[in-house]
Formats: sequence, structure tokens, C-alpha cells
Amino acid sequence: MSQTRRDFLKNAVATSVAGSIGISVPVNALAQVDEWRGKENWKWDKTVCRFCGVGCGIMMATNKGRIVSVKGDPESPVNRGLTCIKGYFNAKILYGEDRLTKPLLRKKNGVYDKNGKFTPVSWDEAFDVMTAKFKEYYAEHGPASVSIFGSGQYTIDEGYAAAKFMKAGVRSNNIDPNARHCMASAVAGFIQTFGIDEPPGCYDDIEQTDAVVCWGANMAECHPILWSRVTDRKIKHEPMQIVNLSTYGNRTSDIADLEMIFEPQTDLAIMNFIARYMIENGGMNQKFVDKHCAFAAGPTDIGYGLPDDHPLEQGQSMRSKAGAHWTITFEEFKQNLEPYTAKYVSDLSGVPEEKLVALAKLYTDPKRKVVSFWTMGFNQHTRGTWVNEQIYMIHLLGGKISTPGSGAFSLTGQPSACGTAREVGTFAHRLPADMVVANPDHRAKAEKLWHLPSKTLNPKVGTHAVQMVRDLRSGKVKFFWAMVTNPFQDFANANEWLRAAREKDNFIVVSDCYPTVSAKVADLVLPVAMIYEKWGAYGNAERRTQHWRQQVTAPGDAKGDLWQILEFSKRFKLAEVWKEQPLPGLAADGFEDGKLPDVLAEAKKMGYDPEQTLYEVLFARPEYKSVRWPDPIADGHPNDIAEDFGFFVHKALWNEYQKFGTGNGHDLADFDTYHRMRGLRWPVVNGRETQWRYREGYDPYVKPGQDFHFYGKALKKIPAGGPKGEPVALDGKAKIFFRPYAPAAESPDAEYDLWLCTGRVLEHWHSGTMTKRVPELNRAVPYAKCYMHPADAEARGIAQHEEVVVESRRGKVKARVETNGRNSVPKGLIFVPWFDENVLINKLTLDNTCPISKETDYKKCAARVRKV
Amino acid sequence: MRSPGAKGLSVKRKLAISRRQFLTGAFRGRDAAPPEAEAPPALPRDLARAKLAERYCFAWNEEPETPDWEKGLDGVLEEMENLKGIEDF
Repeated sequence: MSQTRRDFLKNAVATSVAGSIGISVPVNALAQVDEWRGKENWKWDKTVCRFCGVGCGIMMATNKGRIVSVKGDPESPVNRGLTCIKGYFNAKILYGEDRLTKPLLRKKNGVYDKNGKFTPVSWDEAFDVMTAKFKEYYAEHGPASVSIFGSGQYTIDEGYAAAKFMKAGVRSNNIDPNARHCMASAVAGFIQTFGIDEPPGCYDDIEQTDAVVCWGANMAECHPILWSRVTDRKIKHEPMQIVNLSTYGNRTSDIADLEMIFEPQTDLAIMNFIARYMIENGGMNQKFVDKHCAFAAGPTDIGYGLPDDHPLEQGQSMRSKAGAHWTITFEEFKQNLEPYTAKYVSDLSGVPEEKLVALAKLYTDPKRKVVSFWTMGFNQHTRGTWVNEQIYMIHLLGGKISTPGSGAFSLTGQPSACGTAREVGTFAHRLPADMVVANPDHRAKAEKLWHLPSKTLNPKVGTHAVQMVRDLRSGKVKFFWAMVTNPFQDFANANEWLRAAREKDNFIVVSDCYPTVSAKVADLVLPVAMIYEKWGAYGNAERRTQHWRQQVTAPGDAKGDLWQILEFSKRFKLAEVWKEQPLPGLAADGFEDGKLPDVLAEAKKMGYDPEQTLYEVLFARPEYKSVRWPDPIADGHPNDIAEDFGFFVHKALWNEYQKFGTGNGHDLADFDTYHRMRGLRWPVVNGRETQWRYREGYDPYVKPGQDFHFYGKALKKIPAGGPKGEPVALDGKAKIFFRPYAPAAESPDAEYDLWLCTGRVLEHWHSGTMTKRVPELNRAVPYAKCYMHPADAEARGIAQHEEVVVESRRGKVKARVETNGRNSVPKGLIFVPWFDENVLINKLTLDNTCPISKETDYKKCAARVRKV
Repeated sequence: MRSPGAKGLSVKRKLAISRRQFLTGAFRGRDAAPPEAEAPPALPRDLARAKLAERYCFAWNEEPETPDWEKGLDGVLEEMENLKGIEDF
């Protein structure tokens, strides 16, 4: 063996990069791993990638308590043996030298002090202080003063336990995930259009389609494995066309047949042009639309999700009813589209008319199967819900949906934005399986499954993520626990929240694996076990639920998030939380205004003792404890959490969670089945997964003869003809919305003359907490650059790679300019990735949101660049 | 279904490139890649099935090393006080 380990790693990186982007690799450079010592002792197991929402399967080998090898899982239907460059380094994210291994508390003179220095403490001391602060605020201000900022990276059991602790335990709906920043607009679009969340189709569409249209999705970098499948289809299928619509040129354009760089925000107008063109040129599938669709519209003066006193919000009379909508006729729909001519939209968007027409023809051709993909370009948008609805408008008009090879597919950015944040319901308004807290029937069902007294659950929607940090600033939220996320790097307008965390009377807890920006501004840092140090499950973008086993043990005192929630729940007695609670603003049928009722008397009738803890009532119930550990499904793998609590917590939670979805379109398989499979796409009925929903022959919920059936139940009874019309039922139908163009909240002007767009790079994931700890990835992209058009740089006297100040009305950072590189931005726009905490670009971004979904628009604000 | 004659064609030959003057990403490195005749077909799925994935391993040293994290508490505490990048709020 002449090759050194260093040589091997170098070669592995090179070949991984090549493989991830679908190019040839020199075989002779690959390491001969078989010759490395001890391979016969390696224990291989299937797991799931930690990073994006694609949900690649990976194989992981362990030896002597350490992960020794990672490779793509050839049996995985998602990635078929490939992983991207990040995927190959899934093991190394665990072994960074600055891994947090002990709870750290700010202390001065031996006691907690907000202005103290971080000091290692025991778990007991950490929980003692955390509990005392929680109860102090809770007793004085009630459930609205406490919050958890969760994650689309929670495992399903973690999210389920966190939501149950907050909603059923301390009766606060102030739990919201970082998925609010990435998927909320997709959710709102799905619910308003179909009455049920998540995509109709699946990844298998790629191998059957004739065209892929990317709308604000740089798939080549952000979903590279799916992009490999698209590339594969492009090579093998002659008619295949690829279109990339974006506000800047990127790697996705490299194999595109058509690239359309448009002025930010004008995607709204482009889609209306396409719909207009389809109707004018015979692209509308009249039979499908008549039978399965209804036309709808809503208010337009809905604001930008900014604080009430912001100038842009003045005069926006429908801010509080942004999600309202009503039916319109086809003629009205057509009239609304009338202004969106090719010329008008070309002038507005900057896209040549011939390109607009070429794109419209793809959707108009009845013989061409088309898949539209989108990610943050749509979702992070002040009209995010609208653009989601507009893409369904196009697909529904043509009947190109829920059909192999044709569909509108919302890609996700996080590994379990779907499986946890959405399906479990860790949003401020949700309960498991698409149920919502505001619906009394849904609350009753959840109370029954959770064994709660009636009216335990809080009917008032909690604070969504953006409001949560605004409430931290105003002092309404006092206790803030961030789990599996890095909010103080992630939130737009970051300076405001950094200040609020450090300067206000509050208590910030951050459960994290490394010293992130959020950990640094916390009062208490709890070290966490990472993905392969615990059992878990994720749900990917195509409704595929995938479970994995624990592979290795967490370092030091680090503990899983599930362990932390359960341990914390031991410190609350029913008498403290199920008594009457103040809840300012509560107004719901059956509830006294401003109060949650005392439910202790009913609890007593149910056999509970007020001295019992939330742990005993919510998690250590007899049926939970009967789920024994060890279990044969473990196949020799450890389970530190089960060992600590004395029963198979993960399986017990799954057994309960599974009941929520059964029979209502969210059916899941049993725990053990997932450990034998490479995931299953829900609904899973009679042991069979579902590839295409709403379609006869594929979806078990569609009866013979129905052809299509859009059976989602939410928002299916709406006013007819206008906001005050008589309610009309739209059972089984999907809605085709008309949504107009609306300008961005903040556009470049004389003072701040550039659009600022933020996003990701292939080598780093989200805020870089994990990927920045992998030397190979860090070396590949060590810092965030400011991508700029050469002419814009020249006009400012800025040279390539020169350090500059990038600033907006909210903050400034220093960054190096890149005028070439992987992105080719148009004049007037800069692109800065957000993974780098030393280029904390979210100091500049504006916390404007879609008023319906409450998702932040990270893609557009005004900025300027100057020499240092 | 594979179209006639598509087998063996490289991405370079087959695909229309929208902006050749701004080649980036995957195609930037192709000049440095081995000649096509020597390279395996550039089809991701085929690469995987040709056991390429088997070769992507870390191969950590078998002997357990002292984990880095056990050495790092002082360093972590120092890093926690380092507010570079976030200090000027």
C-alpha cells in the first residue's frame, strides 16, 4: 500500500466533487479502501444524509465506537449509490475539534448572570437554572411568554416530543420551526390549493418527464443528487428540455436549454403571462379543469409582513385577512390575466419575449410532460404563497399534475422539513397530520390521542418564527429555546435579534453541537448528540419517511434533543401547568376570553394526580413503558436514550404518532417496517406506498372512476363570487388562483443601488455549523464571497477578490468580491451566501415576509458595495 | 428510455450550453479532466452501479484516536467569547 491516508483523502475529495456534479472521474485516482486495515470488522448499516431535503440514503460503517466509512446507499431509490460532496462527509461533521460536550452557563461569582462568562456546569445545574427561569416567566406572564424555536432538522420523534411538551404540557403554541424560513410558503400554497400539504408527485417524475423547469431553484448546487437524475434524463431522453429561471446565472444554467434571468419579483408576472398564453393557444385542458378545478382570487392589499408601524404597511387594509379567498368565474380569471401580454411582462422582467413564449410553449404542448421544481426563490418571497399557487395554476390549467412525468414539485431545503416540521406539526398553528389548533374537532382528536382533559389544548395560534424574535425584542417572549438550528445567524435583520438576546430581560437556551453564533449569544448552551449518535427518522421532500439506528455514542456529556425535552418535562407538575392560565388575546368558542381554563378537576377524574410530572403524563405512560428495550430491530446497535429512560422511547413515540395519520391521507407504516425498508412514501395503505397522490390507480384514497380526486379537506368551503359571498363547497376540487404582480417591499434606489440576494453553495449547508467543521469542505469554500457583475465592480473601482463593505439600511459586513466564479450575476445584483458567520449577511437582509405564510423574503432587499 | 445513439455520449457533446462564454461549475473543470476515451461514462446512476460508491470511504485509522473534543474545552470556552463577525450589532 503505497498511498498515504492523506493522499487518499485528497483523492476522495476530488472524486467526490466530480461525482457530485455529474462529471467524469479518473478511476486510477480512487483509493483502494479494501486494503485499509480492519475492514473485516466494520459494521455497515443504512442511514440517511444529514443535510438537504432530498433525503439520500447512505451506508455507514462503524468500528470500535467510531464511524470509519461512508458511502452512498446503492439500494436507496433516492440517490442510487451517489451522494454529493457534503454527503460523503457525513461522518466528519461529528468530529470537529470544538464540539460542545458540556452544558455551558453564563455565570458570575458562582451563579447565573446574564452578563457572566460561559462556565461548564452539570446537567442538573443547567436544568435547575433553566427550569427556574422558565417558571419565573411562565408564572408572571403565562404560556405566551415562553417559546421553542425548533427545526426542520429535528428528527420526527424530537419534533413530536417538543410539540407535545409545549402544546399538551405547558399549553403554549409558541413553537415554530426554522422551516418557517424555508417551506411555509409551500405549505400555504398546498393547503390553499389542495386542502392538504405536500407534493402530489415524487422524484420518479424525473425519469418520465420531457421537461424540467427550475423556478428559483439552483438544483445543481442545492439539490445535486436530484440534479444528477435530471442530467441523466437529459442525456438519455432526446426530447428532454431544461429551463432555468433565476435572478442570476448559476450552475443550473450550465445544461439548460433555456436560461431566463429576470428582474427580482417579476416571476409573478411571468407566470400570469404563461397562463394567458396557454388559454389563448389551446393549452388549457378544459375537461380536466371543468371536472376537477375551481377558480379563486383573494385580496391584494395585504402588506409585506413587516411590523405594524412600518411605512409600507400603512393603508394595507387586508393585512389581517391576507389568506382570505373566494371563487371567481373562468371569465373573471381570464380578464385578470389580460394585462400580462408578452410585451408587458418582457418590459417588466427583462426577459426577451421570445424566451417567454418558448417557455409558455412547453407548458402549452399537450403532449409534453413537464415537471416544475422550485425552492427558496419561490418560498422566500413577499408573495411566496401566491407564486406557489401560480405554479399550480399553470399545471392545473394544462392538467399536468399528479401524473407520472408531470407535476409541480416543491423541493425542500432541510432533511425533515416535511417529515417533522410539517407532518408532525411543530408550527405555531399546527397539530400532527395537517390538523390545526384553531379547529375544535382537531383539538378534540389530539386531546383524545394524547389522553388530555378537554380544553387542555390552547386554541390560539402561537407566535410564528419572525414574530417570536420581534416579541423577544418587545419583551413579550421571555424564554427562548432554540433546538437544532442557528436562529441568530439565520434570521433576517439579525442585528435586531442579536441585540434583543443580549440586552433584554430574557433567557436564551441554545441546544447545539458547536459554538455557533446562536450559542455565543445564549445564556445557557446545551450540548447535543448529533444525527448518528441517536435513533431517528426524517421525512424527505417526496413524502418518504426514513428511519435510522444509532451508530456511535455522543462525546462527553452531549445528549440528544429528545433526551433534553424528556428530562426537562420531569421538572413540571400538572398543578403548575394545567391550572388556569392567562392568555391575552384568546377569543374562541367555549373559552373565556383571555384565559385557558383550569383542567385539573377533569384530569383528576381521568386518574391523574396534580403532583404527577409532565414526563409521567405525556411520555412515560404505561403504554409507552411497555415498549421494551432492547429490541431485536436494533440488531446490536446502541440506544443511549432508551438505556437512560428504561424503555424504547423512539418506538413508543412512533406508535402514538402513527395514529394521527391513519385513515386521513397521512397513513404511515409501523416502526419496524421502516427499519427494513429504504423509506416509504405516505400515505402507506395496506403496506403499499403512494407515488402519485390524487390519481386513480396510484392513490388508495381515489376511488375507481374518479380519475382525479383532490380530497384535501382544508379551506374547501369558501365564499362564492367575492369576500362576502355565500359559502360554497369545493369537495374534491383543486383551486386555480389568480394572483397579480406586486413589487418587492424594498428595491434598489439612489442610495442603495443593488439588489441583494442570499443563498447557498454546494459545499456548505445552511449556516455552516457542520460543514465548516469538515476540513475538506472548509478548504473548498473557506468564506462567503460577494458575487458581483464585473461592470458593477469596475464602476466602483473594485478589483477581483478585493475586500469591500456590503451594507444595507440595517447593517454591514465585509466580504471579498467575486466577479467570475460559479455564479454570473447580472448588473445591478449581488449574491452573497449565508453559510459564513464571519460574513453574517443576515445583518443586511430585511425581515419582510409573505403575509400569508409568514416566510421571510431573503432574496430581495436593497444594498450597496463600497471599498473598505 | 434511452434514445438511439445516446449511449456513451458525454455531457460535453450532447447538451446545449446556454452561455458558453460563462462556463462555470461542472464544465469549468472539464479541460482538466482525463480525455473522454479514458473516462467512464458520465452517467451518475451507471457510475454508482459500477461500484464507484464502494470506493468512496473515509477509512479512518482503525486504532481509536484520542477524540479531538476531549482536548477542546478550554478552546471552546475561548471561542465562545470570540464575537468576530457578530460584535458590531
